[in-house]
Amino acid sequence: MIKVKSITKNYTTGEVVTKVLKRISFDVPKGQFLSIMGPSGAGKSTLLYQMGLLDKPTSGTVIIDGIDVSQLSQSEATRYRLKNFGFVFQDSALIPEFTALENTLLPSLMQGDNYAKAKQVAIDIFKSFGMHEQIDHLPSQLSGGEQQRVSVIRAIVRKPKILFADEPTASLDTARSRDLMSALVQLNSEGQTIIMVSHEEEFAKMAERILHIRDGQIEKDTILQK
Amino acid sequence: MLKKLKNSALAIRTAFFIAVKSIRRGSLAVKLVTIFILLLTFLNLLVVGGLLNGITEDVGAKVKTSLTGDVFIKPIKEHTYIQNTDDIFSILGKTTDVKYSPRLTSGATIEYGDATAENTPTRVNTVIAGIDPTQESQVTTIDQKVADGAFLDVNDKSAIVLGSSLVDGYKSSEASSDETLGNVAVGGKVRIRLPTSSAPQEFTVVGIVNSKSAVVDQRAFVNNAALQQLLKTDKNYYSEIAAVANNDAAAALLIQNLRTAPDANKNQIKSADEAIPSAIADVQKAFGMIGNIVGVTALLVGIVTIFVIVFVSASSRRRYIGILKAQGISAPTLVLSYIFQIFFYVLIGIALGLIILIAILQPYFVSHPISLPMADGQLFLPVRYVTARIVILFLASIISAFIPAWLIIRQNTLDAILGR
Repeated sequence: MIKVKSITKNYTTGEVVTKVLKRISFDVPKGQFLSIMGPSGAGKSTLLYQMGLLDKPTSGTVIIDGIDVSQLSQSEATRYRLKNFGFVFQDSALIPEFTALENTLLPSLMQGDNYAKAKQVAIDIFKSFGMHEQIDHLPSQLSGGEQQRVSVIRAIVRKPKILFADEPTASLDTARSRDLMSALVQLNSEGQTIIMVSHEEEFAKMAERILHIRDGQIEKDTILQK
Repeated sequence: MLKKLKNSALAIRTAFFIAVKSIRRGSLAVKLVTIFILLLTFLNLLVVGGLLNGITEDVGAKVKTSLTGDVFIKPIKEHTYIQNTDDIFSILGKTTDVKYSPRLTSGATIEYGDATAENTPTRVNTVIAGIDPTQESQVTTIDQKVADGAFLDVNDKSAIVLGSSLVDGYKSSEASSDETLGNVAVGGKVRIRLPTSSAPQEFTVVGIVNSKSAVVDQRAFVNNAALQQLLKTDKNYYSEIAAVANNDAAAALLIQNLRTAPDANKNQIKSADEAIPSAIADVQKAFGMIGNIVGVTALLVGIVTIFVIVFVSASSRRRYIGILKAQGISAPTLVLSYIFQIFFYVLIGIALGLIILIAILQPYFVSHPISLPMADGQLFLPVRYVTARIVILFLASIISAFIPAWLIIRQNTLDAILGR
């Protein structure tokens, strides 16, 4: 489903060229939960951003369902992300003036979903996450773990092809991190493709496969036995 | 094409959703400051300009009601007196509901006081207007602007009414350097000396008029017959004719009839606007320009403030904006949400401004007009003038919200998310 072909990414500052990704290639089949691990500065988040169309690779291609998405223009990439991707970042970055429910509705509204229907779909997901009592809470009235769960709901409310998670547990304590990871595993068991960056082995191991990155290259590609 | 339209509609819907939530739950202080600034900008756009409009309108109105009427007829430069007066009177007489007042004018020197060893008579050079008081009162309001004494009696050939600029204590502007006759009181005697006759003629001051129209207040008025006698002219010699009609259409028709009459080019036939003396027209233009300058300045201040508010708001939300863009919310949608918010604030600012204008300021200036030497200043706000400024404020606000929002939102999505 996802083909990453010989991706390189260089950052240039003045005359200094930093090679962050060096001709990385791998495939991710549909429905897989892939963890990308590695030390700080290895290039794991950069790799996620190239695949998630938040950045353009210096060379190489990302092919999703046969389409070379790395060639899309900025507005095409935005539209593609809306239709196909969900994102969870290190911190939830929920809009402070929106309730938990409203924060999750924007992608649905942007795609033309009926407001009442989109609301009902979101409420159902809130219920499945055990958060139906917090739907009208503002982000400031939610704990960090709850906020991050809302950001996951926001990412999956439109049933994206791929859920990208960039260190989603980084700002959570261990108990809340485990809760969140359980939620992601549950989503994956329902067929959701997930690509997650993590530097914590405990959580990375909850995926089906771990891609170890070091110095911009794949060091190890491990399929985990469940 | 249909897909594009659908996407635009969805962007508008999402932007509206974001704007409504942001307005409802945004910082109250920011909301109040934004609305207050827009309210002040709107009032600045209208009040100063409206007052200056009011003054210029009043200046024009005073010239019209005290001198020219709706139609003003004067001789062309080559003639001292109006030509074909019988034809003109015939047209004026035939036109329904038209009143007119013919005047005979002449340059003259007015003297006050006796020449003695201690005293030198005061003299002013001015214009004497010979009028028929009955006809004049049907055309102008100067008979109602008597500051002291009474207006001319049609039978009193030795009476004179002085304009307020000729007398101390009544001058419209004390700073004016024009010479006066001094403290002439009602009942006092003045002498009129015409360039054409060496013997002065004595008149009794019966009244002093203060019309606040400079041209009129610098004149002295006597009965037409008295001036004819002084000038030794015939009955049908007139220097100007002022006429009033029932309405603008009737005035326009009268002008047309006068201008198409045989030998019409021997006289100047002017509408009230055309007859406004050039100095007053220049003042009107200058006031209009000052009003526009004040309005533009207010608008610039408003634009810059809105720019700063939106820029700070968008800058502080860069990360949220980045996350929304990552989720597929397009940059134009986010920019549009800021425009909707400002549109709402402008709407509230204008609504409050209109309430203040209509309910407070306009009634206040009606009861307390700004009294100037040449006019009484009230707020003059024609619908077209107000509408134009409302449109200008809307456009300026939208542009001043669009630019900072676009500057922030167009930045790289990843940089916004990572705070780079």
